[in-house]
Parts: sequence; C-alpha cells; structure tokens
Amino acid sequence: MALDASKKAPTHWEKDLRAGGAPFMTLHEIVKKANQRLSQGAWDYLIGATETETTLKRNRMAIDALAFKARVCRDVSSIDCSTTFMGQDIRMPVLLAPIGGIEAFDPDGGASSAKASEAFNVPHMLSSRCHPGLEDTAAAADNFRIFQLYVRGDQDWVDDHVDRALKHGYQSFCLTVDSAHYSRRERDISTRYVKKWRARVGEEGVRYQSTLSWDHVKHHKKKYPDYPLILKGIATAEDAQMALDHGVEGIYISNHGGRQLDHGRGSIDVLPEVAAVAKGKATIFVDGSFMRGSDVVKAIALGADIVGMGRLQGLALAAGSVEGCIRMLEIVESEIKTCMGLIGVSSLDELDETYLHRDANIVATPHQFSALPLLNLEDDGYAPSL
Amino acid sequence: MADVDPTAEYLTLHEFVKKARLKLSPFVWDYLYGGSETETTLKRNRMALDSIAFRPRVLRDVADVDTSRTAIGKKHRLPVILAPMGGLQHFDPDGGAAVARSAETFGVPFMCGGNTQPGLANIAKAANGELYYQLYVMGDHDWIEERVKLAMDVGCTAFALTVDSNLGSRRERDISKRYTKPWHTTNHYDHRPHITWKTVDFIKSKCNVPLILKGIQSAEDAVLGVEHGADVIYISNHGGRQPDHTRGSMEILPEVVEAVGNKAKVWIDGGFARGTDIMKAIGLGAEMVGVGRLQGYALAAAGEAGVVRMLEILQQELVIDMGLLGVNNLDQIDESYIHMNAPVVNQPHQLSAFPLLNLEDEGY
Repeated sequence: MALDASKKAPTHWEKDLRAGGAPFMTLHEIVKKANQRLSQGAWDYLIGATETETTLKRNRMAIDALAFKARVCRDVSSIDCSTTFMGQDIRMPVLLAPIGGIEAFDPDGGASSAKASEAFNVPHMLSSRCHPGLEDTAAAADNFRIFQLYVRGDQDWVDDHVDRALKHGYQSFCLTVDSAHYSRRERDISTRYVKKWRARVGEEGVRYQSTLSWDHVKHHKKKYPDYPLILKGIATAEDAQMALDHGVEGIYISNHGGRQLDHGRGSIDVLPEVAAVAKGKATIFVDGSFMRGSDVVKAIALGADIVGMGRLQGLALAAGSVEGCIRMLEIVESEIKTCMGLIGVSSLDELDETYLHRDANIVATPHQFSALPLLNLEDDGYAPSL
Repeated sequence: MADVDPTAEYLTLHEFVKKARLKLSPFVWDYLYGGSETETTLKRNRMALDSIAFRPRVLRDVADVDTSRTAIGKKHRLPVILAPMGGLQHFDPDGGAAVARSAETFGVPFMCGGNTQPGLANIAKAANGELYYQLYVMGDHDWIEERVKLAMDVGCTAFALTVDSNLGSRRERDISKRYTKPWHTTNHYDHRPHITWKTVDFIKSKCNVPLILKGIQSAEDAVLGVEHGADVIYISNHGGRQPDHTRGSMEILPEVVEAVGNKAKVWIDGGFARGTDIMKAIGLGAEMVGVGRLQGYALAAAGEAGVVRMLEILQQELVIDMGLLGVNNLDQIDESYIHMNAPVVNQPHQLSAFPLLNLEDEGY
C-alpha cells in the first residue's frame, strides 16, 4: 500500500517553515533573545541558584543521566500528549511553574503567564510573591489556575489567602515547604543586586515561613476539606508519605530550581522514591531544570503526572511576553510528540520506566543551559525577533 | 535570617579568596593554595564532599536554628576549629596572635600550629579565647616534655600531636619556583621520622589535657589511637599537603566513626569551605570541623577582622542550610539526611566550592 505523502500531517517546524519561518524555531533562540533583553541583575536572578549551584547542576545531571530505550515498529502516526490533570483535560503535562518576582522578566508579570496558560491550555501556578497579584491575575485570563503561597503572616493571614483563591477560581492551593529560610543566591549577593520584592519583606514576615509545620497542613485540611492542597518542595519519600497521611492531594517534588538548599539531589533522582509511595494516591508534580520535551517525557515515564517549567517560562516571557511563552509551549509540545514517536509510544499512558536506561553516560558538563548546547551566549550576532 | 546587608565589604566567602589572591605574592599564594605532588589528595577532599547530597525534610518549624556545639567541655558558636597553619604570619604580620583574637571575638577554638609565629607563649598572651596546641616533634623526649608543659602553662585546653608529617612532603609549586619557606629553614626534621605509638604514650603520660591525634587516615589507626589514650581522633590529610593520592577526608569519616564509637570524639578537616560542607561532616558523625585554607584567605584579605567576618558568613550559611535541611540544631543531623554517591557537578579543585569566583578577572 502506497503512502500518500500529501496526506501526511506536517510537523510543527515544517508548517512554520512553509509559513516563512516563525520567530523562534528552537528553545535556545528564546534563551538568546532573553539574554539580550534582560539586565544583568534580572538575568542572574533568573538563571542563578544557591551558593555553589550544585543542586541546580544536579537537576540537569540527573536528567542527562537517563537514556531512552526506543522501541520500533509501533505505528506512531497519531500521537497524543494531552492528559487529564486534577480532573481537567490539558494539552500536555506541563505546568507553568510559579516564579516570584516574575515582573522582572515581563512587566505584566503573572498575568502574562496566565494568558499563555489559557491560550495553550496548560495550568498555571501563580506565585504569591509577584505582580499583579491574586485578583488581577485571575481577572486577566480564563485559565486553569493554582495559587502558590509563601507564608508571611499568621493562620488568619493564610486563611484569608485561601478564601481569596477560592473566590477567584484557583482550582487548588499550594503551600511552599522548601523555603523555611531565604537562601544565599551568591550571584545576587556578589553583585549587590537587591530584588525589589525582597526589599518589601520584613524580618517578621519571613519568620512565619520558618515556623511552618504539619499542624498548618492539618488546619488546612480540616477547614477546607474539599479544596485540593499541594505541598511544593518535597524531596524525600518520607515527607511524601507524611503528606499522604495528612490527606494532601498534590505532592510537588522540587528543590526550587536549585534555589533553596544547595547540595541537594537532582529532582528527577528523587522522583522514583516518591512515586513508589505516592503514585495513584496523590498527583505528583516535579520541577527542576526541565528544559526540553524529552526531559518532560523522562519525568512522565518515572511516574510524574505533570512537569513544572520555571526558568524556561521566565526566559520566554523575557524574550516575547505572552506570545513568547505560547511559542515556547508550542516548541516543547512539538518536542514531546517527536520524542514519544521516536521511542514508540502514542499516548502518555504507555510511558513507564521500561523506556528508560539509568546511569547513562553524561556527555556535557551540567549547567543551566546544558540542555541547549547550541546556545552561544558569547556570540552577540544572532537572535530572531518576535 | 536577615537579608544580607549590602553595605558590608564582604558578603560571600569567595570575595576573601579574590582579595587574598590580589594581596599575596605568588609564592605565599601557592604555599596557601597548593598541595603535594599531583595535588590529588587535595582534589579528593573536595570530590568526597561534593559527592554527598542532602535529603531535606520539610514542615519542621525551623525559625530558631542553633549552630553551637560543645567540644572539650566548652560551647562554641560553630562546630568549627580554626585549624593550625604553619605560615599564618605570611598572611598577616600578627600571624597566630591575630587569629587567636579572631577566635576569641567570634567564639570558636584556635589550634595554634607548632611553627606559627609569634610563638605559642605570645599567641596565648594575645587573647583569652579557647586555645589548643598542635605539636610537630622537633626534639627528643625532654624537648617534647617542655612543649607539653608550656602548652599547659599558657592555658591550652587540648594538646594535638601531628602524626601525618613524619617526612616533609614535596610541594611542587614551591619547589618549581625554588621557594624556600622561611620558617622551614629553622625546622629540625631529624626527630620526626622516629615518631611511634611510644611517642603518643609518652605525651599522654605528661599531658593533663585531652590528647588529639591529628592526621589519622584509617579505622585501624583510629582504633590504635584510642588504645593509646587519644581523646580526639582528628581525621586529616593535612589539606592534601602530606601524602599524595590518599582518600578524601570525608571518605574516611564513616569508617573512623564506626571504629571509634563512643570511646573518642572525631574531628575532621580537608577542603571544608561552606556551611553545607560542615553539615555533611556533622551528619556523618564528626564533632568538629577544621578550617584551614579559608582561614588563610580571610586573614590575608582582611586580617583579624577578616577571619571574624569569614566566620560570620560561614555561620549565616550554616543557619540557612540547617533551616532548609529541616533541623534546629546540629545534634539532629544524622545519616538519614545524607545521600552518598551523588553526582559531582564540577571538576574538583582548591576552589571548586566557589564556582562564581573568577581569579582571572583582575577587575573586581
């Protein structure tokens, strides 16, 4: 039977090429543009991490140490990377992760991410510490939204945020649990860069985050039993089990992009032990240097339900605001589908650890952009405009 | 913890290194920075630290983190000893006297090296902080007895015998430049190769303060040390400056802790440069951590005040690191927080704990 070439669905990049070329065709072009647009201070804040930045590098190293075991002859002519996430259909298993101070990359801040979230149909988790705030961000888009809180007040203060999040259509509520102390981001400190949103934080406010305990979780589940709760910053199976014991609906594996405790494990290295206790019992989130479609596929194969993207989102907003962020998501989706097809799966449900080989050779020194080796930030010469 | 005060001169530890590099002559810099032969031991010190990862716990209420630790009967602000360094006087003219004052001001012990100027008696007079003495054997039993007596007379609360320096190592950075360390010309090496466990027994019999054996690198010697009366087993490879191609200090710690049990305390040094480094040693059973090179950089950069400031930043790091690990005090850190054999992300070297440091850039 002859295949009719004209009926073959064009891939994303083929469509874009036929249309004369989209502004960004690869993710590293987005990074390049962001680098050209951002001040040194904002750039360092976005790409930097804590102290030696070892946790950040381990995030990349852990992803890079996984190899695919591609299967063949599977008929992958139709690939679906959509999924059901916390009861809703979304276009791909990617979350626009919360970014504090996101207005440093796009003046509209969280509202731009919310708009991209609506346009593309992936969820957005809004950080409590960014412009334009809970209400205005909710008003900006009709999207799948989640609110993430840094605790800066007493229980009444927290409950007030929960009430407001409920009222403004945030489908679930997330407590940050990996930020009991503000870490030492040495890129910022060395350059004496004072972040505006940090300057607002009083000593007393920060102390509330330090005092967080499981009692706060108990209170939330008692007062808001039907409002799904996510704990962001889980890094061990032990704490994942405790979260389950407390009735938590979402377990978010994260080391804050390497921006909180230094010398932690890479996020995807933590995923298997957490999935072993929590898979099917809670929704499993993971983030930490996921910069590629293939990175996302690896996390899903190891048991994650959704993958958060933070830095890449910030870079895309800096490069092209809402349009830049949508374009980034399109490229990631294209990469996910390509990866799925090449390893022989048509839907995310088919992915499991049989498609992965652990402890593969790592071919590049891990760093913020080792997933984008063609990026050359030294070369001032290229970067398409949107 | 309070945000960093942007008006302070030193806000990160690597800024001391930069300033020290700009101030020191290449000869003194290389003495401070270098190790022996291939510098493999030195690099393994860092590599061993860098191959450990943490398993942080959450929701623990860590608003009040306490970094203090009691050692040799006294409470210190950090589980840190200002480790002995022979050539402190080349980083600051006041040498050991300056560091003794820093130690008192901040509240950690200073272990005075046997070759450190202006000499133990003057250093003891310079400050009232916690002072230990570290001996290089450069004479017969009468000479040793005299040193032990002096240490006790001037108020040292612990006495350390160095056991890893029976021969002078080949520090090829110095040799290549034909650099003769001034304090070495007055040294007497004749007696060092003859140190045995009998020397330990002799010192133990003359010494009425706790005895530390500095330079232990195996469980076997740790056990022998305990049998010969050591109160502290100090794991050290001399910062990678004595035998080359040995193990990183942190690789040795678990076997020594297991072998010694509760019969002695275990201290350690070798490449420690960060709050996270200290947490790793504590988690694997060390009581105290020695800081040598970092002390040298801070002293060279900013003298006595520089060493105090270095300790302040180290404490700031440790408070935050402990809070983020989910503990309120050092006693809570155990093996459950430690993941061994984690990937090493940087090529290990003297300054791999400071990846943002750029010594090539003369400008800042």
